Amino acid sequence: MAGLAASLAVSTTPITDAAQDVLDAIATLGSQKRIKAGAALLTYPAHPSVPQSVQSSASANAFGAYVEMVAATAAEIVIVGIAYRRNVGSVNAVTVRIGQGAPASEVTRADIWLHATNSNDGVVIPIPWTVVAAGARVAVQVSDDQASANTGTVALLYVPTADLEAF
Amino acid sequence: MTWIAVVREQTGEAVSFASIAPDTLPAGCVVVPIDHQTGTGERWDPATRAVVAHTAAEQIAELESQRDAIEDRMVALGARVVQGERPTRPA
Repeated sequence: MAGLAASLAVSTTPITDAAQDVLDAIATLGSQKRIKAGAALLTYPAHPSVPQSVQSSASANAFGAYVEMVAATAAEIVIVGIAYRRNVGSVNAVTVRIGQGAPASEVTRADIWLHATNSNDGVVIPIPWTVVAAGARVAVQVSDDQASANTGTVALLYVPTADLEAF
Repeated sequence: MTWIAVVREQTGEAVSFASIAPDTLPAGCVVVPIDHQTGTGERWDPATRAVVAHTAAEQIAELESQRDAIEDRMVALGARVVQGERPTRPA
């Protein structure tokens, strides 16, 4: 019992940075956010626009050009998902890349790999929340495993940070 | 709204479509003014460096090309089976 009591005693030894990172991660998981009442999950392009057309490269496994989803975000946002539909019938391995920054200098914020075909529903994929600062440009590019330039349509799902609150 | 395409000067390949001009450009890239970025039923044409119609005939040809590629793979797999090849089990 003495050993158990000793092991249960609160340690006063400073924890390591790594241990602090774990505790921070646990704290983050414990403070999940939700959308405030009256606010909504939004999309780029904004409703009622159709999703943005995006084309892969003519070379296999190479990205096509970035298409702009928003020139400058009105406020800080979190991107929480993508909606993607492919116009090509065959099932292909596709990577949808979300980039942030000036044209031709975009920085990768997320790579989402999926198998996609031209199903009528397309796919909606939740992704780890990606925070984008106010005034930032967000663009998307696509690659696939085909040696032909194939088209699809894409939309981003996001919430302004100010519209989030803790559970 | 004014749109631009950032294009590789040598090939005409589009790198990024944007409604704002970049302050700096990657080496070997130039800016081409366009009416709008590619939309549904359109594609970028590296030869003319313009957004052009992605015609139904082109789309059909692309689908047929993909179908042919799949058929070629199926034929190749069938040939391996005919030749008595057995799939190997992982160790």
